[in-house]
Amino acid sequence: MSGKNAKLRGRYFDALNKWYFYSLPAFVMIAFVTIYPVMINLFQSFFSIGFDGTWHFVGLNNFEEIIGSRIFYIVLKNTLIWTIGSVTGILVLGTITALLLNEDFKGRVFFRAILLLPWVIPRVIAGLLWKNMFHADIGIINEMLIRVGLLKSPVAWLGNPYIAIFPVMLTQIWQLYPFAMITILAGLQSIPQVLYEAAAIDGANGWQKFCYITVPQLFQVIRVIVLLLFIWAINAFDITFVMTRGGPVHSTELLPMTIYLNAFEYGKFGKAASTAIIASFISMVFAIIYLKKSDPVRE
Amino acid sequence: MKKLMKKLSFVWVVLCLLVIFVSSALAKQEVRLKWWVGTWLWENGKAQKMAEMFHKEYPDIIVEPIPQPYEGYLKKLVTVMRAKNPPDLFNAHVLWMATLAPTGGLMDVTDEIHELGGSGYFFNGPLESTKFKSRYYGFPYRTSAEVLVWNKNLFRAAGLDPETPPRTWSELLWAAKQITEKTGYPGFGISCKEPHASWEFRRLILNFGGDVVDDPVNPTRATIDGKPGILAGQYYQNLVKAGVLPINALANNMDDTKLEFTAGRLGMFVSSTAYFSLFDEAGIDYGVTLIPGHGYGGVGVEPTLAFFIGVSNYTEHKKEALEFVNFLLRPENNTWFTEALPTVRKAAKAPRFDTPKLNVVMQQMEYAAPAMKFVQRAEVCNILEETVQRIVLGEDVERVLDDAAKKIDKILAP
Repeated sequence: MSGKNAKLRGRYFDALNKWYFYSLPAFVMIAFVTIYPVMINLFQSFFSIGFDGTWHFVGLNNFEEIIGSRIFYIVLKNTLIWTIGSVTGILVLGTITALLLNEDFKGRVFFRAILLLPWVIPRVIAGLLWKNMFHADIGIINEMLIRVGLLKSPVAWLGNPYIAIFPVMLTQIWQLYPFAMITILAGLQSIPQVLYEAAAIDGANGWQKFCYITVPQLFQVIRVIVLLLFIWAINAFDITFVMTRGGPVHSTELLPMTIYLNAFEYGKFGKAASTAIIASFISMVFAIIYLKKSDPVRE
Repeated sequence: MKKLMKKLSFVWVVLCLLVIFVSSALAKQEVRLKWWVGTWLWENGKAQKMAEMFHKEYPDIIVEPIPQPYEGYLKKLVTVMRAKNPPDLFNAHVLWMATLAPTGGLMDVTDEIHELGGSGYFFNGPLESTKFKSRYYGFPYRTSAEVLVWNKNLFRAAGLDPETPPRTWSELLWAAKQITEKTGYPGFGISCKEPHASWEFRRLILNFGGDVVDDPVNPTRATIDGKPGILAGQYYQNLVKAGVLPINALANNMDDTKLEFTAGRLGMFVSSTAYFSLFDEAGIDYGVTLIPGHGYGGVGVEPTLAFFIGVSNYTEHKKEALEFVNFLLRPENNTWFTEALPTVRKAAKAPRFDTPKLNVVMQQMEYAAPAMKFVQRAEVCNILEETVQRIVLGEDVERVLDDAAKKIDKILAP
């Protein structure tokens, strides 16, 4: 073999040994399914795109229109209330049920299975179920509350703009708390029992054990759960769409619904793209701040 | 010898290939047409039956009905048309014409409509609804008009004559109040949620002598804030003050209102003919009458409601697709294919449409107003939904309509 060919072959085999060569297919795939759509979305946000497919460059006009719109701030407020409320609710309910299921009692396995059911049900079905239950005239919730004397007359849960967000949030909490429950339960079962025994010897009560042993031990698990729940909450579309379609009077409209309406009802793909950019920016800022602030190594 | 065998084998292979090629070219190719069908037809099997009947008459053409739920159907159609890959045939609402036609996905069928006989063959209202910029882009196959229905049992319970429905909007409000006060059930149902909130509110404005925009096909400005709009808004607030609306009114659209009426828990509402079979199945004793007037010719107007069959502009089988459409529009087929009313004049003469209730609907169709059909329609309708909800919540009518007019003007601005 000539000297030149030998050098080329050597370089070729060297490249084969480099990590980036083997990672290239994965990078290409990620770039295609993640980076490319994001870049296209960003590009579209500077255009007005009509139903006939024509693109007109409008610069920052789409962003100005969104930020200058009164409805955007209503939607932002709804999204904030929804996110904080549902994440808190899911975490609290998930923790309580996980703590209960961590105890040893008869039928524990059965209850673990039953309590997972809401998570198994498709979200659209869950939305329809709760929509019927919250129906003002024929819903079982009004019926039960009137019979036990908590209500004197039926309440329009989904027809009252001041309270409609709460039944929808309750549906989200009901649907997702099993995820928090099962994850926290796994975390609880990995906490060494010896810590509790030592605390008991030192005279700690149940609440002290929970605060000084359970919570710190579960910190990493909760940290990840909160991040995931936040992402899911801010991207939630199906439950609000099925239950209220964002109404009445935008009171349950969230950012994903606004994106959907702009794209698929009004045909304003450019405006939808710019709303998506704003929503993604808000999510990213929160995620970065949250991860930095909650990083135990940094602390 | 070997060389000879090789040559002979080569010739043999070439001959075989030639035979296969020629026979496949000569062989009759079956044409398959994809037909997107709204589930309003699919559910009772009519689309499949139509396809089977057609295939018996045209054995070389197979039409494959593919069901599409109504929810999200327009978006799907827009998406496939922009991708230049729509199905060969599809059913669609005439209200979507202004959205679908600019995509270039609908075949211009003006010549075919004229060949069939134009307005001599079809009812004028639904036919004109398939026009876009003076050209026809679809074949109307189904039409309807909404009418006022009332629950005779609740009328009796409220001390009202069950055979005398209200003739004006004032009479309607009074009757609804009687029903609510004496039976406890809501007297009149309205939709405050899309896709019906905007339709019903616009109907009321039309009946008070106005409209939402200056032109329902080529609008330039909003007119919702004029006197008729204010009267319509005040009427809605009068319904709220009288307490005649269902508790869930703000969250209801016509499907929810229809359920309450079917359960016998609602006095009156303006209903689509498509719900009559539900009321009959539920055993509701109900009457059908014309939309109340308000000093506007005595009978209320109602925008035309129709569906059409479109042919894809990108289909490779235009001839076959048009043959199927012609088959579907034969009077004997148009008669049974639709759940509502046919668009073919001869088909409407069939005995099954000669009932007292459907005669009222046919009469209501004489007072048809054009439906809003422009590209920004969906956004304007969502503004109307918000307007209706704010009015029902008790906000000042003039201020709400003024807000709506400003938003609509902004959308319509070139």
